[in-house]
Amino acid sequence: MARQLFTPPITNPRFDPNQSIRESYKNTTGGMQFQQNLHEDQNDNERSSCDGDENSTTGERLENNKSPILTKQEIDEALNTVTNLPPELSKLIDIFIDDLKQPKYVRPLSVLQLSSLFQSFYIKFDKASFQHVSSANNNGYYFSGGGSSSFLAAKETLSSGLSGIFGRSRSSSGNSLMRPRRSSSLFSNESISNSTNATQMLSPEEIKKQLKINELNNMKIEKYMELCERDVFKKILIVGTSVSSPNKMKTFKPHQLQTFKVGNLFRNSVEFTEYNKLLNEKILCLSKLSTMNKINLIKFLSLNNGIDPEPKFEEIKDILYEFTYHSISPCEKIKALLKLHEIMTYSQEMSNDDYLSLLIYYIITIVPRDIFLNAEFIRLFRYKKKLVETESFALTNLEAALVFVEGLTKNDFSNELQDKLTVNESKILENSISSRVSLPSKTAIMHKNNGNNGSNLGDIVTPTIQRPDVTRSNSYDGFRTVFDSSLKNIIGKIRSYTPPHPNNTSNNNLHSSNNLNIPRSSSQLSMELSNRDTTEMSRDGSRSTSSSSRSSASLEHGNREFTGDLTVTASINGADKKEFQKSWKKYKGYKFEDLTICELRDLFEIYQKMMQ
Amino acid sequence: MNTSVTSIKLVLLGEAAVGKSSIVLRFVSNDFAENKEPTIGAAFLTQRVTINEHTVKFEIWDTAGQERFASLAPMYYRNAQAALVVYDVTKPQSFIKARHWVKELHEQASKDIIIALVGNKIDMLQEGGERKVAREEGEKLAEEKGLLFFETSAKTGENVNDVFLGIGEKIPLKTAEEQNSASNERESNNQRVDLNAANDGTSANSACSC
Repeated sequence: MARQLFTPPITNPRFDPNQSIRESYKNTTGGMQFQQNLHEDQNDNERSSCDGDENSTTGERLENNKSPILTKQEIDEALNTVTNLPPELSKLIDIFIDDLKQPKYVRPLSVLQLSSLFQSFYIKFDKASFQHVSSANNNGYYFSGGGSSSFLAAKETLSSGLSGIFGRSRSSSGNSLMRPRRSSSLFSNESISNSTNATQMLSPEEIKKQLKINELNNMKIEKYMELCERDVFKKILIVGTSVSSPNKMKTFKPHQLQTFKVGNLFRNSVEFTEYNKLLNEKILCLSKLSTMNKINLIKFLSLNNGIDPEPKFEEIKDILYEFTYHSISPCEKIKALLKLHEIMTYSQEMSNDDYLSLLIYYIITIVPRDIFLNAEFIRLFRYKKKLVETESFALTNLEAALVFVEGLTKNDFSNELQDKLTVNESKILENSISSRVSLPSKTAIMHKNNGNNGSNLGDIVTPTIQRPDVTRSNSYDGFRTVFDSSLKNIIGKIRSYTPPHPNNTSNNNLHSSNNLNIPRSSSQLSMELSNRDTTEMSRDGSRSTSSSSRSSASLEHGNREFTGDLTVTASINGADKKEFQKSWKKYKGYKFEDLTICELRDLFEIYQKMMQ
Repeated sequence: MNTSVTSIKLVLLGEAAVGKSSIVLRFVSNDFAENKEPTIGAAFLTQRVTINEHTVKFEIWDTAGQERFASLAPMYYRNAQAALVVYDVTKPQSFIKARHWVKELHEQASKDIIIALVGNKIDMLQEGGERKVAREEGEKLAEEKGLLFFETSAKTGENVNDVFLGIGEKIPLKTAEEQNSASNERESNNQRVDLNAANDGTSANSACSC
């Protein structure tokens, strides 16, 4: 009986459920704010992690998965669904390519200028990808947060209810001895415990989950960048590299689509194409000399100390063909290059002392066409942020091998060989290619690379976008055509216009519709007004003196007003007509082609006045 | 969770067969305290080391040591923050070549590049091999040129870790000096120390004529 007295049931009418609901929502709102702040911090970490990406490609990340948070299965599940770019990101590519096709540059862009434009676009796309993934992450977060919020809300409701019961119980109790025990009872402990639980917004599991999300988002961004490079160059393959080609879209056969000629991008940079042509000739020449046993490549390259290039020859050949003929984007080409490196490295135990010799051997014996342009294509059009570490090393090795080959001359071989050379072969091996063709990119690339490093530093502190080093045209054929057409139209109208002659009307025509347009003397106007007044007086029969006085004053005011207006109007009309006639006659015999800008301006003014 | 990591491009130079690759492989595969798992791929290797609560990531570029490829070395040590110039203590010719590499690095590489002179294969001395390059010669060259100096054995692992620790310990000091003398640029996750940052001129000349 006493226990029932101290613990009233929930159905007690004195318990206020509205109060508990208000308190519950208040606490929940505070919790949400805390969660939002925590999310923002994580977003910053995600951004930093994105900037500091270690691995070059997603594939490489998969192979070298050292993430303690994610399993390979989780990564596969997340990335296998990403096969195409989201529409909003794909649209950026369309805009970029369309912009490249616009005839807005003074002269055709060199490959270095193109590279600058592409790198700027990559940076922009990278940021857009980050924003896109962040938005998706926010949506996912709200869902997760909602679940947590629901749970916490329920806990708060229960806690508040219990507190309310406790409060009511305490206030309704008259026994002072019982109250102290109540204050340190189970209710009080539960209240403190619930409060503690309420402040723990994220559990370790939730933190781990968030880290997983961040890691996956970074991988998604990497995937998007790969797809970006792929789609950019596939679109270029379709629309062509000429400015005027949007109207000449063609349907390519499948095998044609697979063949992307990187040389088209170097078309406006003659040094590169010439260098490439000479290098192709030299590689082919050396290959023939080796085939005909005029030179012993194995001995020349010191590969006769246990290194056998033959076992992997066909595999290497396939990769080099893929690298030069069948890959399109820089990302695909660098992947082929990395695969080449992997096979050469792990197939045999060797140091880098032998690696370069072996690579040179393969290049000379396989003769991959345009290998120089392909290497430069990667250097210029691969996203600089990704061309680091292993990728950079692999590309440098290839470039070093090519530099070695281009520098070979007949003096590097035995005297016996020189006697066996034909005239053409001797000519090809007379000099190094670099002594004949100077690549402007050497200094420029060095500068751009250094600049790019600076840009990377800048990106971390204050992200900026490099402006391409190009100038826009200050003339435009299309605009000129429109401008000329407009001017000729205006001149035509001016020529067809005949200025009117002054038209004098009869003074006796009092009811003419053009009365107001005819300059009249003040006396005439006075007469009209006087006549009107007389008529009114006659109609009424009589007028008083004051009425006559008012009429006189009104007439006087009217005279003054109309006189001024007429004077001003007459003055403007007269001057304008004279000026117009004079101006018009001045240009009457001129041809449009003979007019100067000042004269055109005068004609515009005349035309405007005429239209008024 | 993300700690600051400084990436260092380190290039290996030296005559063929002095043990350049062996030194790196020993360093990368050794059971070293506080090391993380290395990334092994091609002749490019990476390894992280925690030095004085600071994580340094070595990006190690191996090079071909044959004389015919000497002119290609600048392509590899461009923008390198550190270099290991390796010679064989049993081959005097390799020490002469090492002296040449030191001179070239000072003339053509980054101004503040950290160079470590490494005399390798000291294990052969215990196996009856004859020392052809005295330790004092190496120390003298290092002192004259302002280099770090170590004698190592890639075979036994002797002093191999010390080489990279010595280089790593110098980097934060360089970084601190740059930060004090230069701008307020901050290092972030996986930020490479750019020793040529002061010389980078990113001039953007793209004024519109129209």
